[in-house]
Amino acid sequence: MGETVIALIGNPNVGKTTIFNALTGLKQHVGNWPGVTVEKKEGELEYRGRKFHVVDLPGVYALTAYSIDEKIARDFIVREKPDLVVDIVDASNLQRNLYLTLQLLEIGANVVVALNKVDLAEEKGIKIDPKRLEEALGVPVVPMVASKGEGIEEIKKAIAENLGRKPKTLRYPNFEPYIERLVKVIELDGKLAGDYNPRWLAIKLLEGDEGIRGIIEGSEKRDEVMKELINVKKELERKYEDLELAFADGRYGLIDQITKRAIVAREERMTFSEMLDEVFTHKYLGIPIFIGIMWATFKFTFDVSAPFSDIIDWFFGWLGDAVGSHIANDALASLLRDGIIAGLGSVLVFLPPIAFLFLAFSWLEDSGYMARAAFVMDRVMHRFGLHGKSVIPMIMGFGCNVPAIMATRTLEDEKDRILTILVNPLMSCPARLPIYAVFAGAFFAGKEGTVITSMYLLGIGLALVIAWLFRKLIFKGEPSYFIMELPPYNRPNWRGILGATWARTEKFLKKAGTVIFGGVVVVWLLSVTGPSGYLGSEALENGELLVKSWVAVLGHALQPLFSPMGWDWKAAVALFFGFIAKEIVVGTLGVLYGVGGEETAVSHAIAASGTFTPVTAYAFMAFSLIYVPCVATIAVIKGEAGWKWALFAVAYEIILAYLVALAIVGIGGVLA
Amino acid sequence: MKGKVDLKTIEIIGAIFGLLYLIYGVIESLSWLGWKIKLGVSPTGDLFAGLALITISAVYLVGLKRALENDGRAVAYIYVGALLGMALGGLALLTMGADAIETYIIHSEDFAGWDPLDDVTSYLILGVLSIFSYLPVKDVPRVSRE
Repeated sequence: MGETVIALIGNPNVGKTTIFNALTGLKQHVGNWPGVTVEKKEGELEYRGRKFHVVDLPGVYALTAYSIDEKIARDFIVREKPDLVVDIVDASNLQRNLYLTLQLLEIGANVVVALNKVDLAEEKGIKIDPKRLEEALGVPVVPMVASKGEGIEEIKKAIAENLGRKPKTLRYPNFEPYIERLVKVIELDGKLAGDYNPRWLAIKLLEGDEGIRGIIEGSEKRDEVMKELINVKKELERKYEDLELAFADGRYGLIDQITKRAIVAREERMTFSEMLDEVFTHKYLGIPIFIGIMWATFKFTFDVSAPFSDIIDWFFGWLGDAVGSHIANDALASLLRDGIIAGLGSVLVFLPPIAFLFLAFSWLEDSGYMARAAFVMDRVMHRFGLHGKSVIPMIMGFGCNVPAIMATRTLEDEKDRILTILVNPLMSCPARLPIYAVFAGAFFAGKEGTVITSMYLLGIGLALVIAWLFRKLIFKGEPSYFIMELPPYNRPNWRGILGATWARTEKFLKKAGTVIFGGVVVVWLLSVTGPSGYLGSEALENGELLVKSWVAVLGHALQPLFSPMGWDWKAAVALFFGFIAKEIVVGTLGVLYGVGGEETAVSHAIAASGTFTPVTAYAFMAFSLIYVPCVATIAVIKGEAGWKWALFAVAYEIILAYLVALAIVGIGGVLA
Repeated sequence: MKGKVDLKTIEIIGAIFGLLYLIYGVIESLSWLGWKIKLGVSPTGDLFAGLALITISAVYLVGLKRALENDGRAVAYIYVGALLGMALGGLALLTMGADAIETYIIHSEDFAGWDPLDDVTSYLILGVLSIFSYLPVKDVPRVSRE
């Protein structure tokens, strides 16, 4: 490269990006490593008139080259030979982080240790003496608190002062004679010994590293090296069952000695993150706490947002009346008042609860709690064939199935992802709530809360049962294992939280402005027109006129399908339009019963109509819960999983809804 | 260490708040079943409120158990119990604020005759009281063993 190259390396979450940004400022660019799509960050550092090219390597725990990240990091250090490697070590987790440091020293890299998060270590009761650590490791150690900008100047100075330094050789007492024997043979090939650190090659050969064997294959002294390797291995295998494990033990033995020297005080103490995790991830308390937090989230969503919904409801009512009274043409006035304004109002009234729900979820995600929720729920989800991470999209489904299905992208395994997508629509989104409220109010007065809760529970229960069934029949095999490093807890970053909330709410607004709005206008149009032409806006309030509308024609055509459940043509029409969006169902019933979209009025009208009994009303609620949530959800399933799964979802949900409703009517009829 | 608290204090806090949350959690759960027991405040009749209170009680009581076992991790349970309790109290205050908007600004018919005292729930009072369990442990990552 012709310039001084500095590589940054460290375990994940050690503060590598913070240090990289502090060193390079804005002079950085992002690319990909050759041949792989792993992000590569590079930047320039200028210090005391000298320029350094800084390369940020992927976060890795070791250099064993089992993963792409490890391979990239190792290849860069071995092949590109950076002039200096800044190894960022988390002081609060010294033991684990030093494993990588030792591997860097084995390669022979010129290492400077950036001992980051010393404040966190002290909070944990660990006091490290950087000088003693420096002596034990044989490399410069710079204590830092990168998040507060402490130690940045010192690390720059250490970089500038330690270029061209010869690192200290690491010695593993149990293996030294064997390593030495191999090194002697490797050094017979001058080119090989020049290109690589012979000690590192010897250790890796003893560990059985396939990549290093490949390097030896190309050596002119290949036969001698392999012969000596076989002899040495034979002797070592008499002492150790697994050589790779024995070397790992050797490294940990050395780490133990180093930490004993470097840690000058250790007082067992928990950090605040550890205190939170002690309880939130508790074997028995974790799940009830999770349920409690979810209840509080929904309470916040619905109770606290209620006045804002009422303001929107009032505004659109006023606007509709104002516009309607100023337009002489009946059709145009009705289109604006009963179609466009009432339609838009009936949808936007859900904007506050949806925005509040997203706000609460964004806060829970940003705080780090959602990762714990996935962790504690993993065992339960696993039993039903789902992955622990599936719980997050499933909870999000209570807010809106559209972003929830998009959130399944966090699931790495395709089978887990598709399965989560397929069962997600069974999670009851707020659009179904007005349907429950109207029917529970009409037929289960005094027990509305229980009946509505039972709908949510029915959705969850069906989602789990269907997931289990699909796992047995379609996605055979076990869900993938939950591997995730829990992120640290954060104080709320309100800018980020509000940004995420807005991004999600905006999606709902777009949906409201297009699909739902269009659907409501279509219901209006089909209600005020019929085979005989325009019926007048009175059709919306006059049952005799409404029977002559297109919507009645459609309802009568569909009604035989639903007659086993005892539902009339109005219910059939409402369910039909519910295909577009569930928000339309109550509005449609209001139009068909001639009482407008107000929930209480619709409730009274349905109760008075004599069409429903408590059993058939409960079945109607269950059908509304289960059958396809809305066109937008189908579209997003198609986008995320393809046409095949979108059609499958539609088909299975309709069949399931029909069977469950039929079962409710059948069993309810027997019990009644 | 920023502050210090001894195991005895943890035990006392764990016992008092564990029992308080348990009593009100049971009252809330029973009210959902139709039993109206009034102990200072009227129960809300919300089953999940009852379960949430019982859960917080369990967190405090596990803290008490750990303290009795001379385990320093007991402080974590008091800390988290207090946080959860205060969060529920905060939620109750937000709900009261929303209902006040409905009553005094929107003049919603559903809130005719509403009084702020109507929204004084068991978890609002316990949330306020939880501040007293939070203060002794807020700066103590781990309890001292003396």
